[in-house]
Amino acid sequence: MERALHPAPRGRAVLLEQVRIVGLGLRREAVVAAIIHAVVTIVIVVDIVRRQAGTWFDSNDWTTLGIAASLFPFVVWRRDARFGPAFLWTLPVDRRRLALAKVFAGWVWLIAALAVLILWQNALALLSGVAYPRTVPLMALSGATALYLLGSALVLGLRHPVRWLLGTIGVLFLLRILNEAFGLGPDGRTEAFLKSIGFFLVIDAVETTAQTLGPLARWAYVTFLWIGAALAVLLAALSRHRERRRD
Amino acid sequence: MLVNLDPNDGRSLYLQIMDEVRRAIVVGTLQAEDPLPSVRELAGELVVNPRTVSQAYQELEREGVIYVRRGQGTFVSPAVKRGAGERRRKLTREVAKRALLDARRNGLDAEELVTMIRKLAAEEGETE
Amino acid sequence: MSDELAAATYGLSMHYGRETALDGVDLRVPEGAVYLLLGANGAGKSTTMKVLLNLERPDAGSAEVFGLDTASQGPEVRAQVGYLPESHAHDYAWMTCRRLLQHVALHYPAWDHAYAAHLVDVFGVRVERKVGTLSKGESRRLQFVLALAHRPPLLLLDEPTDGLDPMVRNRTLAQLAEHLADTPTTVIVATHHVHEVESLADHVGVLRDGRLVAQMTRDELRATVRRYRVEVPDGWQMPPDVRVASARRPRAGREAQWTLIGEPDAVTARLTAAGASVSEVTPLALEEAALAFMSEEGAA
Repeated sequence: MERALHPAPRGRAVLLEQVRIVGLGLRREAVVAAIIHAVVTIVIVVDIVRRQAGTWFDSNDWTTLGIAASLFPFVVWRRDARFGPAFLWTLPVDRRRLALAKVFAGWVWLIAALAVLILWQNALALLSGVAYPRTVPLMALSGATALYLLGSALVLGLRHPVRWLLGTIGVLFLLRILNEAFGLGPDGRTEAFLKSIGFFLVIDAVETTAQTLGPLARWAYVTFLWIGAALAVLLAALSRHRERRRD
Repeated sequence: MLVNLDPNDGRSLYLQIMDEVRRAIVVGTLQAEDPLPSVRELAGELVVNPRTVSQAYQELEREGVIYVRRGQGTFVSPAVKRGAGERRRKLTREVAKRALLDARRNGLDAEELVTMIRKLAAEEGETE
Repeated sequence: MSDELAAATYGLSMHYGRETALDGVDLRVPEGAVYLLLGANGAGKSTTMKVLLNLERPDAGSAEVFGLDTASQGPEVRAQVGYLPESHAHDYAWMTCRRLLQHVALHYPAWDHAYAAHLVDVFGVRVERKVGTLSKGESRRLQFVLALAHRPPLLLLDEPTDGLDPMVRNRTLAQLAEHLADTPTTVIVATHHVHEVESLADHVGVLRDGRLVAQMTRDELRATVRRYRVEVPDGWQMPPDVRVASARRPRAGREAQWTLIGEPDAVTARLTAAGASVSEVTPLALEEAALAFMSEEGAA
């Protein structure tokens, strides 16, 4: 008997649905964020009126943003069991592609949120009349992208990413304490080791090339490298979800 | 038509269904040209694989007990009256088999059973 | 019945640490069959289903669904399957039923929207509610809708009656029977509640400690197991070559009862030859017959 097999869904439909679903799942967080921003806005506006708004726009600190971007994947994936049998994996889509679609969906919402944040900041800066050192928003977005991809790699590549994260931080912290307390600085040896594997050669090469480029080109070049590296790590992590392999 | 399936019965399900249809015809619940429930309906009612019902219907059709009117469903054959004797005998055989098995299990033999059956039937006739 | 196999496994083996989940399982499910996969809890039923979906990858052996290799053609295989998982809880507890239906529908181009609406109606699923707020039974019925709505050629039902109260259970199974009448489907039901679904089944497979100890049609199974009522002399022992599933041998009297596996005429002859007097041979309901294989004494 010639059996007509049921078709699998088309890639685009799956991708769009992931964007919708991830967005839907973030509604609550979005509401919370909106409320916080509303409160902060009121406080800033009050300061603007009192002409004390200068302090708000001093820092050029994107660290918080960076940390948020790298931890965002935890929020995106909190409801799906990434390992073992989960509803997600029962769908007729290649597991790696589905995971990638979800990562992409999260990225779309991350960028959307960041764009809104940057616009909001600039609007307030404009209102306050402060010469806001407007960092090229593109840098924030590309940096966030790279960190988000790395975070996603962490979430998808490890069963217990939180443990690994806390463990690594703990170890680094411990090393730092030891270093300061007993001067157990491994710096000399570390530097020698890194030199031997040509680590610095790569850094030098990248820097030299970067020098030769104009600012925009330089940004593009560095971004390309960072995002490329992050993507490579992500793809490596995704190999754990290959259809044709034992976990 | 009421069909009851006995899970403890040793026979295949489709045979049970066939016997139930025959029983209904003999008893008179189903008469010539009466419609039978569709495969879908009966499968749903009995919670059996529709293919089992199909199998039963096909066998009954082969025997000429029922026939299919295209687009309208399955019906009892008009020729049913004629074959009633055969069906009736088959039914009697099944009932007798069960009674005999029951008797043997209790250590009774066929003669004792037959005598008692006759006696009971006579008593019932009197009280009616 | 078609000669084609809807699903098959070849020497399927899986271990969780030191525990054997599956041990050389050769499953054969013909197209159009309603195959009951039986076994105690932890016998390997759920694992077998998950391997068919490529949700779990085996240590050894392979599996096929409609000729597609589950390991290398996972997505294509899953597009042919409607799956009712063991657990009632859903990962997407925060979504409304309606939204979840939409979500799943998008992944199955064969989804029949009219049929889905009909199933929602028949099963009484309140689509406006969030999935997480559903009762156990309603959640199960929702899962039924999700599995049936795209009319898949293969249904994998893991403990389908679990969580359903008796009245709803019958209605649900009746709906399943009607579904089978409308759509040519192969069904594999994994359960340890045999009597609830036995009328639907026409094939049976019995798993015991990860091994498939029996695999045959329902009629064959019932023909292979009988309860024998015998009278035996004192000190009589069952011949070792007879397969014993269970025995009842009271201390007083010479009457005993055995549930034995084997062709009834041959077994009766064997018992008689060994000096027993067989007074009665009765067939068993499907559940008891299957249980015989699960509890067979001395089975390796």
